[in-house]
Amino acid sequence: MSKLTKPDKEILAILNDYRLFVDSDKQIDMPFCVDEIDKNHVTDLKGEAKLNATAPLGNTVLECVMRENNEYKYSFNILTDAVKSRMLFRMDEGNGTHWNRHLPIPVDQQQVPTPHFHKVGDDGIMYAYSTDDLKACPNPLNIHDGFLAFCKECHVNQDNIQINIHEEGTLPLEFAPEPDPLIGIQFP
Amino acid sequence: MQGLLESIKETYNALWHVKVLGDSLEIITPMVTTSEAFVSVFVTKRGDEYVITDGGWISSGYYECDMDLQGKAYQRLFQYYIENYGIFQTIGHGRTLYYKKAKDRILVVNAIFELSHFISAVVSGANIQFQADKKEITFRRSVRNYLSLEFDEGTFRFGQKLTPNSSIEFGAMSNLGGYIQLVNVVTGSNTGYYRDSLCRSNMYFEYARSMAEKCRINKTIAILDDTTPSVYNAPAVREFITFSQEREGNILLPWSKKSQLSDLLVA
Repeated sequence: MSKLTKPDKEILAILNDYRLFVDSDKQIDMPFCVDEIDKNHVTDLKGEAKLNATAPLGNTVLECVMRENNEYKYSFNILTDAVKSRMLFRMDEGNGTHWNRHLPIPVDQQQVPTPHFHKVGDDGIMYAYSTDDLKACPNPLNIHDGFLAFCKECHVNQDNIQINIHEEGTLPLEFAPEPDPLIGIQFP
Repeated sequence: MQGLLESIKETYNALWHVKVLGDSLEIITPMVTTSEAFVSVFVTKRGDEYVITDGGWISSGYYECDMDLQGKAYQRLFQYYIENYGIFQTIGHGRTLYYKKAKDRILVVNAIFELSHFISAVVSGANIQFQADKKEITFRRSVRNYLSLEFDEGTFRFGQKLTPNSSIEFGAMSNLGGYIQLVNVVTGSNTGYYRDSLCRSNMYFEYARSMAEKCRINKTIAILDDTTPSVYNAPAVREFITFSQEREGNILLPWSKKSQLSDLLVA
């Protein structure tokens, strides 16, 4: 195991509650709005909503970050105030391939491209994983379909799942479906 | 043993993946970083040349590394790999992209090989705690947050170079009234670090002013960290601040007077 990868002791101590939380039904107000400009990265949009679970774990929120005005680059995070690390569950798309280096399996199985989910394993270490449902989705996966996949995997709302992405005070943007990250860039 | 080699090769080969992104390819390589990511490189074509690039992922922080390019040790490490692997850089979509080119299709693989090693090295290197001055990193971050918050979107660009080939990065750069304004951050947890930081800022500004006409630079402003009076008011620091104030062209602005910045930029 890598020296850098350490178990989250706080979550290990409440592992049972953690598992119950992850598996429990959760509810947020729909539609989920992603409309705030990130103060540090002006091309990023953020959204946050209070999240209630039937098996709660502190006060929890669902957070979304969409990077570079690109609907193929985003994360959904479930955060709590119950542990210092805050992160309980996460989905990533378009920001790189995770290496589950702490798992005692061959390296090709440690490699998890996006889109993928993250949750804390029995050893207290957060790992990335995919599911058959996620593997069957188009790749790259746009944020609307990604939100559906996220809600299903983490049991957030059963129906009426909607996500609105636009800057505050403006009309919803039409994002180009073009996921080419190098479009328009010259290489002298 | 023959079986072992086969299994190593099979597993290793299975680490390559490709994603088609418009006219570019994202290639997931077997290279890794100590921040637990596999390195991706992007391949595209410009004219009859292939371009192999990190896609801006290093400068966007996707590898979860905080590159301290102002830190001497890391700067040397970074420059070493840039030169050793013959990496070029350019700016696009507000980010720095590192790249190599290949004219010949069969040499694309060489460029992928070198660029992925480069990414692995500079990202993993960024996770090494050199004698980094934590104070410098946190103060620099506060200034950046302030500039992003208090000024209109897009007013400042951060960590920019005057020209793509220059090795000097400025803390922030604005473009107001048809001119460029440069902002540097001066800080340090002790008088030695502080003095080094001020000297570096002065030197960078002097260099920039030598190109003032060409690059249309009309302001060079150093934001001075005065949050630790014992350092800021220490004689060893004051001596250099006084000297700098007397030099023509230098604008020194203590952090506690940051509200004056917007006037200074356009005055």
